[in-house]
Amino acid sequence: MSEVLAVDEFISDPVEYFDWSLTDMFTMPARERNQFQIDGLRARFDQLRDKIGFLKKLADRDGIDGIDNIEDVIPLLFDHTIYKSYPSSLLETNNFTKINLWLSKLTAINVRDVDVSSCNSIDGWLDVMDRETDLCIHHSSGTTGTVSLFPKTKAELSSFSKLYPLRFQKFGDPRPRETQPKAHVVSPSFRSGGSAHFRINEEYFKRIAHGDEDFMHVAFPGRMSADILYLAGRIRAAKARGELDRLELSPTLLARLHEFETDQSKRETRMREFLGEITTKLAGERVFMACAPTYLWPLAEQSLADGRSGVFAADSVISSGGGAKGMVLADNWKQEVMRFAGVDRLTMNFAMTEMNANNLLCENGHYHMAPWIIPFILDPETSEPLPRTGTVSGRLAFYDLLPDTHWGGFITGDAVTMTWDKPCGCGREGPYLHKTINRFSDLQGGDDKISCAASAEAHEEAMDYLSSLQSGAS
Amino acid sequence: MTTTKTVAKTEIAPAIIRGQIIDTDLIEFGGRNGDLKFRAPDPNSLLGRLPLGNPNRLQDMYSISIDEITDYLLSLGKELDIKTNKHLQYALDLTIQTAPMTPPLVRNQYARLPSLFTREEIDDMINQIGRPYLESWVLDRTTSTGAKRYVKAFGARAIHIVAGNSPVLSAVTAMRNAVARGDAIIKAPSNDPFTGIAVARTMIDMAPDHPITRHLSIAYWKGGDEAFESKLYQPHNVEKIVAWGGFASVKHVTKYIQPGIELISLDPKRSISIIGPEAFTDDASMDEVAKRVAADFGAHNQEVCASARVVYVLSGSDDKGIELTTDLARRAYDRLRMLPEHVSTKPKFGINRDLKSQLDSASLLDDFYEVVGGDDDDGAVIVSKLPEPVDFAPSLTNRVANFVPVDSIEDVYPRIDAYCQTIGIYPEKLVPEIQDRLALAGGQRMVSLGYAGMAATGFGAPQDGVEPVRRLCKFIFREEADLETTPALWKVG
Repeated sequence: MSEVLAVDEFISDPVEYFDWSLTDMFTMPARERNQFQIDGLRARFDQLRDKIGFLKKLADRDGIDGIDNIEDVIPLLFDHTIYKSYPSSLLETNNFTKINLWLSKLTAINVRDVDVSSCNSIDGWLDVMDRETDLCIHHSSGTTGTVSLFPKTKAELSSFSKLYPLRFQKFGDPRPRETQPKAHVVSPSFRSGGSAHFRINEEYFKRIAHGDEDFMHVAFPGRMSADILYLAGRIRAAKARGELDRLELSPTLLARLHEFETDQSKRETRMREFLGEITTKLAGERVFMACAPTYLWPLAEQSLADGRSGVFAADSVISSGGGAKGMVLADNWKQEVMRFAGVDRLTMNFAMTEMNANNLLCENGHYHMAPWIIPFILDPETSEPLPRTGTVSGRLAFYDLLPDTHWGGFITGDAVTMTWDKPCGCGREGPYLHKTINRFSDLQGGDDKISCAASAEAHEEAMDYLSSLQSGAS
Repeated sequence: MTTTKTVAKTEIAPAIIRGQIIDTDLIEFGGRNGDLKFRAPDPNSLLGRLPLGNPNRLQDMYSISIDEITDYLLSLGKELDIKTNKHLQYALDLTIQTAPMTPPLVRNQYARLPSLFTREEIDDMINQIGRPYLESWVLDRTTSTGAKRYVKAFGARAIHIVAGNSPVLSAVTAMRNAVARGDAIIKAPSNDPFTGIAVARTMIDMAPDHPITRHLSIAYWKGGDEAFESKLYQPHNVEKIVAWGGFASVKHVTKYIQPGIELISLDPKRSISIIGPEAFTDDASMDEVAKRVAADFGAHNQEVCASARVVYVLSGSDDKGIELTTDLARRAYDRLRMLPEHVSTKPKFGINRDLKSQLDSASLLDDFYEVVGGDDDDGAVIVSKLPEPVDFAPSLTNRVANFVPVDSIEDVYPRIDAYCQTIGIYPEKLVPEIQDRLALAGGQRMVSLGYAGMAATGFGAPQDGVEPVRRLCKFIFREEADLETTPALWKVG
């Protein structure tokens, strides 16, 4: 394979490039990785510079026409807020033509020619976009009343999702003969939906359950509606502002909210049933379960309380990641989850919708960066790059080489510590993140900085406070 | 990375308790923005002394007349001259490091201290309560049955959690407390721990044993120090808590509210301006409006509640209207940069990082916004092309305003809520038409365009719609019944 082709495969289909070997993927020698990263970055920039409107605008502004060094891309990284930068009224008023106008500046896929003028809900719009374009837009949960819309393609998702079967491998082992073993997928949530958690279910179905519906076990067979999630966020926001009476909602949506609230109240009952189903039907079976601790821990806790432990086959994959979102987890929750499942490891993953990679926690407590992710650590205040040597703390940014239709350059809201060049000791190559990762939005404020001028943080705090009062009263 | 400035020695912020300066049991605290650490007495060591205790100890405030209080405040005003006052000079040097505003603005705030203590200003504050009510039992009502009601205003024991974004607020609090004849404990803000101390020390130098001096205390503790606050904020210690915003601090204080403690909440606020179509009459009118509106969002570097953040322009929301508003925005941005140094400067730390990234996003979204300025960290104006504010309007600061073209004033009312304090209005003739509607929608102060940042009628105004000076008082009444004419409850048959 020529080097150009190799780089091309490395960036567009990394799992194939590493021949489905987890060990090979994380032992790519530094020199080779660095060369592939700069070559890949150049290729992506040349390919996308004039195809993505916002990128073109930034590059034109700064007069950037080529990439010489890795750090040349820093002025072109998109801040994480850009994927929710459309005027929020467009979503409130179902103005999807204008949403598409906005989206057209973030993707190389032609979305302006898609007729979405008759869409009157987010779900309806997502259906049209799924059907008419190569995109499968990932939306965020919108808990603060604003929803991120991320233009990932089906092909990008498919290339990314090849990573999931690799979780059956143990780092250090040679490539197994069977790289994509069939297993039961357990998902204590909805079957489908437009957010990353549900988009991925279709990939699990394909890659883990091998297209066998009998191998899919979901708590709620239906769809997690984007409209309901968005509405819930808006209601929370409006209640907090004391402006619930000013919120304009269509009666059809209101009817669906009622449904949603009913579902919520029935949720616990259903989760118990679901637990019963999986622990009996799947006893001793090989399963694949990847979900947030907020889902995983209650299941494990209940099951153990019911006297059921060691439920699944020992070669099952149980994986988790993300924060506890306010839930109090037992100190030994990971041990307890493993005891419930009957496995000897719990794979922890640091990931985000905007990054087409899994960064798995090693036994030394470090998240290792996949080689097609070029990380940067930025000064949290100035966004200037910090040295790419030693151990540094700051804001995580990265360039993800995988996508070929949206810009992989991204500045996160995460405060991290990265070690660049001191081997971790676990055998993996490359830079790694330390275990403690915070959101900058959580780190700011607090304290006793008093100002008579209301800040955005104040507004958000107000929202949290008032919604807690409200939930306390109901 | 925030860097910690090394100072030769850690400055001390002593506690002042009713005329006594306390600088023992010092522990270290970190200042705002991470650039100044200071030492202050361990608040727990103050707990026994900080509350007044027995409310009868306020009697000495009633041994002096309102005229004597006025004289005291007039003298204090003369002493609070930055040119001669050593305490203020020392505090100014430190406050420049801790304040969110730039040095010229902080200096200007210090320089204006004496102007708060003129006879007119003091009288204005007295009149919010009503001079007769402070001086005597006022015959307030006589009923048809001959029963008479007398009312007198009494001071209370209060904790004042003051905002730190303007150094004059500690002085204003001292003045309000004197007029209301109360006992004040000021919780010094972490972003301005020194100004209040300088005021209190000036009072001690001037009149160490005067009742007004002996009823002002100031101490620093970390806001939210629940172990300490839950002991101090008790009905046997205080009757009122005056809490200036932010939300977190006010929210936190509500934990301590119980029967016997009243909360006077000066919530976090934002402000707007409204510009009528008359702005576009001719070139001269546009320039006039540009100058005025730049002052509304530029003064105090947009750090205070009265600073305009969103500006509604009744230009129409069609292409022509957007063009007019954009023209006005360009002129306003130019005028912003020409404001006098004591009014507005390039922001201390440039444009806040999160806001800057929102601004950068907005500048990419040229279908929806036009961004004027913003390149050199020196303020900006975002023109909305839809008739609505940017979603991040609550985060506007560091001299970044959002101009919103609208078709009619009716489009503005729904945007106003209880967070909306000041509304700058142009032209004046628009006022009668809109003032009641603005008030009902939630607005609390209306000013001629350009005067948002001035407090043109002083601190005796009914701030935030709550008349805080008045609320520092308890209005006690006495009913006197005439047995001849007022039916007796005990009379049988």
